[in-house]
Amino acid sequence: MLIFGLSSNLSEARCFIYYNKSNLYLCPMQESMNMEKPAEATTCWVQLYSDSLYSWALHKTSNKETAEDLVQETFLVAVKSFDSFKGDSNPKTWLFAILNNKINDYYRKNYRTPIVNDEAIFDRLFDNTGHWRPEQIPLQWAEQNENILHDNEFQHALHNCLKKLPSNWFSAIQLKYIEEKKGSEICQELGITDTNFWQILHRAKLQLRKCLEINWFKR
Amino acid sequence: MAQTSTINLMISCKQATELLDKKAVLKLSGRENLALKLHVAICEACKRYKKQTQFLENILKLNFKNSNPDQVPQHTNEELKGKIFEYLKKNQ
Repeated sequence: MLIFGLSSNLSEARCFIYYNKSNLYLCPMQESMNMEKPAEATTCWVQLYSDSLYSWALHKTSNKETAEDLVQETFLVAVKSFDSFKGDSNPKTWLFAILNNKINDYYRKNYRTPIVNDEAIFDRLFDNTGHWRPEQIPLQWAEQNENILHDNEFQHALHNCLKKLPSNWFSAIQLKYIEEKKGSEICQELGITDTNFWQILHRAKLQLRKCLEINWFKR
Repeated sequence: MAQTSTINLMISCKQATELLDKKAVLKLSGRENLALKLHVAICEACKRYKKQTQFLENILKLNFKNSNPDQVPQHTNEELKGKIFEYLKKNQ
């Protein structure tokens, strides 16, 4: 595949031409995008935006296959609802809106996936009288503030720990923190009980705390 | 799991950590709040848990809310482009 920007710098180009499987396409950049044929427009959009859509989906789901699926579905929706796309709005904004809906649907679906009520984490951390097992007692952490999020190594540790959570625990975290909604509203929307929701979040936090302690604070 | 209405004022570490995380989602009852305060006041381990789970709460909020598409690490995935074209062909 060849891409020619009609400027020395692709990001500054007003349009670019690319060649794919013996077809030549001229893709207008950004706002001027208003093409008649959905297939051609979408082909251009894939070239222009699939990487940033994918990066976003990967950030949100921490899973390569899921992120790829969501981006593919996004483009299918884009093709099918092409008529509803107003040429004067930014296609990138429009595609991200579709993707964000897909991501939210994914969390919801994932969260609902029934799993066995997992008591194992409690048995690992607490003895049968409900006291911390001696080796599990939270350690004193060095004083931290929110700026730690700017630390790339910490980001990396946090993401690895999030990845290790069972998928519907992770979805509960996503639902809780991405949308600025109250716990009870989320539960109502999902048709689950408050109890179920906070108990899953609780398990997730127990595990996340432990994982960060081992992989970050204890180093 | 202790029922809200019958919760004893003397609670275990397991129950205290539960209440600390429940508090981030729901409002605790007066009795739950009191039991939690009493426990945390005398338990060094749960005092730490309280501080750390609040720290987690803050960083998770920031991590998920403040991110915007232009600020996340960018990846290129050329393979995906091919997959998208195939997927569109198959589904049209």
